[in-house]
Amino acid sequence: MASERDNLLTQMVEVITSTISFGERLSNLVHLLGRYLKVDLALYFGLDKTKEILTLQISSKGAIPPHLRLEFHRGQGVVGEVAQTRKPKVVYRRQEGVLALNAPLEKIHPAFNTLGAFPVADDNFLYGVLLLVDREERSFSSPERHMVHLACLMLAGTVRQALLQEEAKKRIAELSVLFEVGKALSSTVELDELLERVVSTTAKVINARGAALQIIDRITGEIRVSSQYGQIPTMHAPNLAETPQRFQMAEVPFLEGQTRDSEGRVHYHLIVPLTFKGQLQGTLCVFDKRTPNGDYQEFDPENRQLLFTMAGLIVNALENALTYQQVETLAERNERMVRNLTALQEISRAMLTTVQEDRLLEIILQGLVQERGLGFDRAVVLMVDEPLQLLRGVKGALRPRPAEPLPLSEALLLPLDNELNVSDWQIPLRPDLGALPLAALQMRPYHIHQREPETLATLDKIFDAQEFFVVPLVVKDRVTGVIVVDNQASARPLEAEPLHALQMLATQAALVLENAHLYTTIEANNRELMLIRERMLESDRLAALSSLASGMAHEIRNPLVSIGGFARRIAKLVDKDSPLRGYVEVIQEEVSRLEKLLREILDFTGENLSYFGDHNLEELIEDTLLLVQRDLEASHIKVVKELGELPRLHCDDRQIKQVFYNLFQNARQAMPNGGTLTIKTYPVEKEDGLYAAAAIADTGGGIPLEVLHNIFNPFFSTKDYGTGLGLSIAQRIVSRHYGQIEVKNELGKGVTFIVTLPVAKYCLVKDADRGTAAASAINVQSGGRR
Amino acid sequence: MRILMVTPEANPFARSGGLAEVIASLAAALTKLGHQVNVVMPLYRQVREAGYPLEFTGHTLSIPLSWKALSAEIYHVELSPGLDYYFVGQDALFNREGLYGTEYGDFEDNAERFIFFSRAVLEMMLALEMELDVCHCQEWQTGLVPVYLRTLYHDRPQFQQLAVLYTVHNVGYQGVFSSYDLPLTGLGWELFSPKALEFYGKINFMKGGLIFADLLNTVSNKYREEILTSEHGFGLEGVLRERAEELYGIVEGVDYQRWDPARDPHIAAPYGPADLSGKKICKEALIRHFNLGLPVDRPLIGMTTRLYERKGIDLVENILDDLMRLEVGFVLQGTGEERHHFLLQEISHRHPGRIGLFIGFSEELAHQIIAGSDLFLMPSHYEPCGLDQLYCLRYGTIPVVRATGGLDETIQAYDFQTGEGSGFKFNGYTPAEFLGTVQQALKLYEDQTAWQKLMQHNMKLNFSWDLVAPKYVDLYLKAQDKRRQLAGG
Repeated sequence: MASERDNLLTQMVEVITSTISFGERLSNLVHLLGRYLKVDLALYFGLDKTKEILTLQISSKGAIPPHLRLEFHRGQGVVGEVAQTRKPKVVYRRQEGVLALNAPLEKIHPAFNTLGAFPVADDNFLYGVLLLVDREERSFSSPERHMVHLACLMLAGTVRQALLQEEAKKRIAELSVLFEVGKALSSTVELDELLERVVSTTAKVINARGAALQIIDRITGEIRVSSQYGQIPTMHAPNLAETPQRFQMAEVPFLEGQTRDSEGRVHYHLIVPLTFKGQLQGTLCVFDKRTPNGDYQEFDPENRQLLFTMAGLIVNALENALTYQQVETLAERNERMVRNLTALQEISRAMLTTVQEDRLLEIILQGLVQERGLGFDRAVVLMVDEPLQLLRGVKGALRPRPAEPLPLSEALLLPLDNELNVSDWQIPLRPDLGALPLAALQMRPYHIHQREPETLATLDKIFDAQEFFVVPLVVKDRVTGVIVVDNQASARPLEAEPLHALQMLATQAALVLENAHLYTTIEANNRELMLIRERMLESDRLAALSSLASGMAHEIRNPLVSIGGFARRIAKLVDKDSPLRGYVEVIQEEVSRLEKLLREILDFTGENLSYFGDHNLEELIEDTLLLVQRDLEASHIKVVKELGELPRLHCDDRQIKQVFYNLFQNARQAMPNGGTLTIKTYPVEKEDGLYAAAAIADTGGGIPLEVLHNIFNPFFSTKDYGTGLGLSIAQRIVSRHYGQIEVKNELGKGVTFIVTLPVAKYCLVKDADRGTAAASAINVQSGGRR
Repeated sequence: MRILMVTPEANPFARSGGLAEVIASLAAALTKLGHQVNVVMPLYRQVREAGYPLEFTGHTLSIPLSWKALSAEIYHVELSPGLDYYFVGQDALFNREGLYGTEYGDFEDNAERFIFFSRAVLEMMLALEMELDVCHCQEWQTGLVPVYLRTLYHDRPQFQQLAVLYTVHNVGYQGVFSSYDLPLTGLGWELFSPKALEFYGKINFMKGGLIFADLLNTVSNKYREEILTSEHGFGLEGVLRERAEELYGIVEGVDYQRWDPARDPHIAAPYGPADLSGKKICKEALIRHFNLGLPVDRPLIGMTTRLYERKGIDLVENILDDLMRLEVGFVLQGTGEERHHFLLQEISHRHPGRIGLFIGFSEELAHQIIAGSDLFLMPSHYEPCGLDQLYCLRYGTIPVVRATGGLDETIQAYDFQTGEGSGFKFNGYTPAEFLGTVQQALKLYEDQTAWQKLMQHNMKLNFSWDLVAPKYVDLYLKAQDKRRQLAGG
């Protein structure tokens, strides 16, 4: 016996000092003891966390089947009783009440007779109860009880050690969780990412189904940020904004509760406060702790402690992130400003590439609507019309359609691809007509956030923006126009930075537009001077030619009169049948041809006096047509007239008729076998004013290309009987009237001569005020006619 | 193919069960097929004592374990050309008497030990710049290797194409540990989910292997089917069923270099199907070894086993007294749970001179028992494959097995009418059925002509590893395909 006891003690010491797991140490101890005492069963009941229930944990018969659940409440049965009294107790089946009280034990040993229960406790705590079960009725001797006592002490020691180690492991695990949380939190300063990590890590660490976080500005009461992860039960969520007041002011403040959803399922939540140093506070909330089999359970105090500790970490990280976000916002604003300034610089540079007002307007508008420029949805430039005292839309643009983005410097020089027609925008410069005229009148920008109804009425048909910004174009204390922009199409608000940039741009734009305007004026004047100079040179040349020609004509006319007179006399003397008759007639014909030539030369040289007056183009054409009507009919030429109402011309009617006469004759000669002569008149608007145009079209097959370039040259003719002066004279005349002759030649079809002549605007002015008229065009005209 | 076999044990360095033998034989057979095989395992005390000169690679790797880091010293032995063994050394964890525990139970820090080992394997692959096609992991101890490959280390380019085959030799040992051990792994808490490592509130290493490996297999087709059921799946049947398409069954093989009575150095006399006389000498030697008073013509029943209930030791304990009434001898060697040591010793004391009991394990004695016994008992509760029954076939020792797993697959029940079959089988896990079947076998023993015919039939069967290794090569190729799909897609 003694050796058996030694043996047992040896083995027990071996077991408790071995490196095997605690569970195995306990089972080995229980088993060794059971075998030593030769009882059927040795069982260990462990006291659970609530210190109320003792559960069968170890049996000397090996592993306990999972379905076997054997429990005693404290005080229940001999196991529960010993747990309370901490005194060993042995009972027998035959004793009264023993079977009833210990009935659950029949599940594991139906035929038990002896139950010996021993407390497993050290001098401080009770950890469980060791129960020895035997089918015989037996007692335990004093040495046996001593051995059991020793074994129970060893069990207690082992359990205590196990609990300690478990606790330590748990702490390490929690630390590692916190470490991981800290790592996750510190790995980003991006607020959005951080918020997402906070809730997802929290939910995972607590093993909750969902987590939510809210931060509230304590002063404004607004929710500053919030974030969610996982499944937040569709319950009436606790109002997180109100919760901070309701936290229990315990050492670990928290708010815990449960709700029931519509399906009757219970959901749990646990909320801890997030307390910031500044003016923020918030809450971190977890929902529905998951059990391994997918149910939900309440959060325990350890979860609370962990969540609270995490909240401390989270607060710091969030505070950092919020600060970072502010810094980032500032940096972003800076960046936007730099971008706007860069855009401004690009626009300035582009504006220097041209002095044309129209191009400048396009560049400015591109700068305003390009994505990489100031990026407005719509921009319109209106200029002041001083005489009429109104703002007139000159050019507008919409945001370009999305396309391959070009660098701004290139995009600026493109034509507008989305131009807005604003030619009908006309707003009188009156202060009661809204921000556009006001900005012009008061020379300051207006930012309209919400348009007042009365101004809406005047403009809303053409300009429908609720929010817009208008900036005046000011040059040397004079308003030349306004620029108006909006973001109506994309419904974005107008931000401060681009507006600021727009104001800077407006100053420069006003200046360059004014310069361009001045430049255009100078250029027009210059062009006019050049034209005059050219005409004077041409006139000189022609004057020399004509004086030579007229001299020659006079010299030739006198002998020709003699030749003609004598020829007529000879003709009377020659018989009708005489062979000389033919010669005489030839002489007569040639003389009359020469006379006609001389007349024309004298016409060309301007020897004949001119008679200027105001005339109707339609009448001039009709009069001329009468002269050629018979010839046209003889050639079977149909005449089509499309003559429109036109202002009158200031011209020499005789000369203009001569022009048309020549042109009609040319047309007739081009169509010897018949055709159509079409005459159209219409107004033509040119840079320097209104013109009347007459287009004379034939169907004579056109002019061969090789002669086309010669047709206006004097003495060039394709006809057998022609002086070659017809078109040349026509051009002279038209040119003298400050008009033009153009030729549109369609080979195989016909020729169209277009005569454009200025309408008599000067005459109108002259009629109104005769004194001033002399200064401008009339002088020039007379100069050209020398 | 370049193969890394990750294993908790392997012959000839450290052995606790059949796995060591399987790994050694498979590695050798693969080498024979021309593949380049590396085996990596912990540097146990047993390895140091195995008598091979360990060569330090010069690599000492620092392996993080929660808040601390332990060093892993990598040693190397080239066992034969193309077959290299690597050892992960860390004395605080592995320089112990047992591999996984003591006679009283498993080490309390097994989680830490094999977390360390698994991670060290990854670090070793990187440090040695191993170029590998397949990583072949075994059992729960290496279950974290695939997890690490596809999580913490997934962005290493050399691992992205590395196919992983995970072999479950026994789903009854899963490596289930407290969730508080998770920080040791260095894996994120997101893996503590039922879709990854979580297993009823704890962590399960085998589950990690089953989920993260490219391809899975177990050691017999019958066992493959069994573990898909809740009876044998030990809670992992759900995961296994989810991957049933990628789960294969391959019966293990026998290393006939070591297990052939014609050339076995451990046994008293060689023999073969042509001449059975040597077996009698072996039997006599075994009787002498255990000092049994058994006449040599009476049947001798043998067992080498581990003393766990899953091996059916409780059935043996139950019928042993009845068996002793049948004029037979019984020899058993084994180690395992202490209470079975005790119980068996008690029974043997009741039958002096009839029962030979050796609590412990010696390779030599295992050979001698298998050679010297007439009958061999394997009443396992479940048996993924089982090798002893295959050895018995070659040694002319008739197996009595329970129809489960590999036992059911490899042993055909003897038919008294036709004389076909290779052993005796019973189905129900009851002492009565077991005893009845042993009695059937003993009945045949009385007909020595039929008995010897059966012996000779069995001795000619071939379960060589040379037939098994190509099946593993097939699986490796399949795993590579799978990996390419995953990595490419």
